[in-house]
Amino acid sequence: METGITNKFEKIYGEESDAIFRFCLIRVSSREQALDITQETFLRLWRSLFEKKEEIRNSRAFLFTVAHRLIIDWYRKKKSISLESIMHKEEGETEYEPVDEKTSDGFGLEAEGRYLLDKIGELSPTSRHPVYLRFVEGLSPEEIGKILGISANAASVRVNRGLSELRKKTGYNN
Amino acid sequence: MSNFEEEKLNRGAREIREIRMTAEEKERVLKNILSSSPMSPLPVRSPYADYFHTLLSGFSKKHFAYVAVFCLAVVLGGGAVFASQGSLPGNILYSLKVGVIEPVHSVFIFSPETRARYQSNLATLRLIEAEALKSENRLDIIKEKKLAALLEKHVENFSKIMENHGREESVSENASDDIVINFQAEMNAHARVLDFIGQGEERIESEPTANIKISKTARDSATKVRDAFKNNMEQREAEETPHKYENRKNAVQSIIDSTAIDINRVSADSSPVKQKIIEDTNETLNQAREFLREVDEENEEEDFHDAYLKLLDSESSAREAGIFLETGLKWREKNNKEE
Repeated sequence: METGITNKFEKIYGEESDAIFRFCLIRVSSREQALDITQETFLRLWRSLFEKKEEIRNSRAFLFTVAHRLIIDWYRKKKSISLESIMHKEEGETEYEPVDEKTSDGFGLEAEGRYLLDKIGELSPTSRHPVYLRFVEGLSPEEIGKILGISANAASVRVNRGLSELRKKTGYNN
Repeated sequence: MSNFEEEKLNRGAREIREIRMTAEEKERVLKNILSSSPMSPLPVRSPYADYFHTLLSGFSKKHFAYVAVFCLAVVLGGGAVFASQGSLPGNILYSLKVGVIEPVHSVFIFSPETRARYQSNLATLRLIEAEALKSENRLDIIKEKKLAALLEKHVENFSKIMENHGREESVSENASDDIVINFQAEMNAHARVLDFIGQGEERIESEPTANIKISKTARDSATKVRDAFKNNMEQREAEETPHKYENRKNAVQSIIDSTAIDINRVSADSSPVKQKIIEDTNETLNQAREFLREVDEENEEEDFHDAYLKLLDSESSAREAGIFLETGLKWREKNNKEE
């Protein structure tokens, strides 16, 4: 049974590891951190496959969901060294912090890719991830809904609005 | 949308999908996972664990001592370690924070970029601590000297990491631009905030209080780091990729615009102190705009080095304005609440 699970895991890893790594790298802007989060994401899948606490019907959605949560946790920890930690430490505030788009310079991207990534980064926070997941990674609205904890309909609306915003921002809507 | 434009979008998406792990990284991560026990909650090695062994071989006794003290601190007082995170000079836990936790943490940071950012963050944190103390009228000469000495140490560490530029295991050019700009903006903005804090509404007509030692240290550090960076820049190949300028220029413009929006948001209901903060922010934003205009002039004259330096100066001023506005207003509001 163990070999079967390992084979299944290796297959998923081979298919999805780049997409998960990319999703992490674009958001945390540090290769080491992105590798750490990618590893932790797949480790959770690896353990879930063994534990079988819940059947994983869609491993792709599972992986993006875990990575998304780990990234949010990473931002929360990162925030601990900040002005807020001194001024409002009793409130334990955490806030989702968007990535500085300019760090995309370090990803080794070609001009069109960098430009598109910059523009996706400029989208409103509600559209940014749905657009990225749909347009770049090709996930379905159902999968995006699961990852972001919203309904498939809401995900679909955000994708459509975001894509239209993206076309305006890129100047490709003429 | 025409097919050509749709194709440009699709090409962009394809290029983003080219971001991948290297074969070596992929194999290392997989090996780490498969070698862990799937049923055990024990953590697996970081994908950067290989570097750890190399580092350990070069560990000095001092480093081991730090680790030992750190482990002891965790075992005996995990709560104290956690509690020390927000401590300020004068607090019994502050020495633990700056003498043990921060140095130990820095030992476990491997990439030069992250190390440089960490030292830059620590330098900023020292200034925020000075702001916190000053806002409560607790920044006496002893504490200020201590903070200024720590700040100098962080700047020295930061400069050493940045000086390795061009050597193996050094900060990449793109990252070094961002790191230096950010450092410069943080130092200058917080130095200005420090000069403002503690002023009553009645004193705002006059200039901010004379520079205190730590704000002077911050300003001098920003200038020193900027000068060293400028020297390094002169040894670089001239940047001939116009899109890089354009992207950066757009980014600077968006920082300026977003700070201008923030100013409009707060300017309706403003006390004299707030007005002064807004006025100073506007001045810095205008400086950023002026640098941006000069970028075009230098570009027309095909002086790409100077154009890029102006662009970085513009970005630094734009960031400084944003940090100054946000931090200045936050301290002001905090003081108002307490009054």
